[in-house]
Amino acid sequence: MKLSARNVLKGKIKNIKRGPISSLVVLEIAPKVQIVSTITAESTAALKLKKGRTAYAVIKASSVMVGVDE
Amino acid sequence: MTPGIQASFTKRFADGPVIRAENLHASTNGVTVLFGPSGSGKTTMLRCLAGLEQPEAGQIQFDGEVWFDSDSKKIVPARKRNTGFVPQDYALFPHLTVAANIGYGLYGQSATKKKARVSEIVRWLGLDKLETRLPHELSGGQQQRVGLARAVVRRPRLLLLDEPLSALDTPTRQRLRGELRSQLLQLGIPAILVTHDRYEAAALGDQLVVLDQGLMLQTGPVADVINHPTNLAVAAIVGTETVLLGHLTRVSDGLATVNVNGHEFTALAEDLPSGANAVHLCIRAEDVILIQNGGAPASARNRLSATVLALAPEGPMMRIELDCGFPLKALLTRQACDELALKAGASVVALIKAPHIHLIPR
Repeated sequence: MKLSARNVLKGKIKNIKRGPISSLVVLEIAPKVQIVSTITAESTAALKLKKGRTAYAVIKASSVMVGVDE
Repeated sequence: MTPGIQASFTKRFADGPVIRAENLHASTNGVTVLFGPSGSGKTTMLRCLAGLEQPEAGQIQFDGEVWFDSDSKKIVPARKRNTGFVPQDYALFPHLTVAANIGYGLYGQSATKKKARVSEIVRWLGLDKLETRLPHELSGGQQQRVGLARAVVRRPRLLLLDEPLSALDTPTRQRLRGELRSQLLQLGIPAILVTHDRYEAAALGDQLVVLDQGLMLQTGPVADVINHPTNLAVAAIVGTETVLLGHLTRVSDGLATVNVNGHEFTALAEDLPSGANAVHLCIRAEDVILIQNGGAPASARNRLSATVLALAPEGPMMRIELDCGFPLKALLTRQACDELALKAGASVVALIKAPHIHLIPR
């Protein structure tokens, strides 16, 4: 799928913490490298997300903050 | 004692609006930005804080010390407030060298002390080798640094900057934004900065005060104000690109469903008063993702079929005008536009996460 977001990171769902409104989805994109996403509970159900399933983290370049060591 | 600036005052001009600071607070941490369109009163507010203009009524305090009080008729003159002021055009003396411009404010100090302090500031701001130049021999960015150096050389308690980057060309301004913020933070002096440029406000500020026609419309942390404007005037001033009028059809499980021209949007139902019906939906162009028609499922709750109307460059980005049955704007990198082969008339799908749609009750 072509999309405008510059960062599309493939990973495996490591954990899903379900809340009444939103879910916290932890995606492991490389060993010990995790990305956390907050999505609605509706989306979690619609995408049939579950632990171990392959999924993609999609992040627009404008949303990525850059930091450096002191 | 409230640390930092605490001010409530009015200032009236014969032919302009009344400038009214209401409980203006600028803490001693970080940068407070006075942000608004031309004529909104931000420079007047800054000049009142500096003591360069006197309000008609009210009070201005810094760290609990009264600088202005109309009731007791107390006015601390500008030179005794120990603020560093950087005017819009830097106001450098054209006949003095960089070193003499910077050292000008250090009157009453010995030549040795003066030289040592000027060298310290010159080194810190990377103005070495330029000390003997005259202002007209400097680039715009170098002049800006000399203006800043002159303001901080006396170790002021508060730094006031009036549109510090507006005299520069666009590429230099963009480059210096990050530089200026790190300089202000390194100094550890609280700063109040005036700008009409929302990118500058976002890049430089910690706290944002939005002004229009002399009034303070909203204050708060920069991201909060930009992402959650409390009314349409603030949404327009902070540059929320898409504002749509819709009708709230359902609120359930913390999510609101809003109908706009027959299309249902999902947004977070935060801070919606009970009984709200008509709402404005605010969507920032940078929060819109475009995908090719028929793309794979994604978590974004809002999926809109759209036709590209126009593309226009905006710095390193491209601004895309879309027709979804209502207008929508997206801000994408040029590379993204190339990969999606975006051009006028192309069909795409716009994705917007529910938390990226901010609702303002009408």
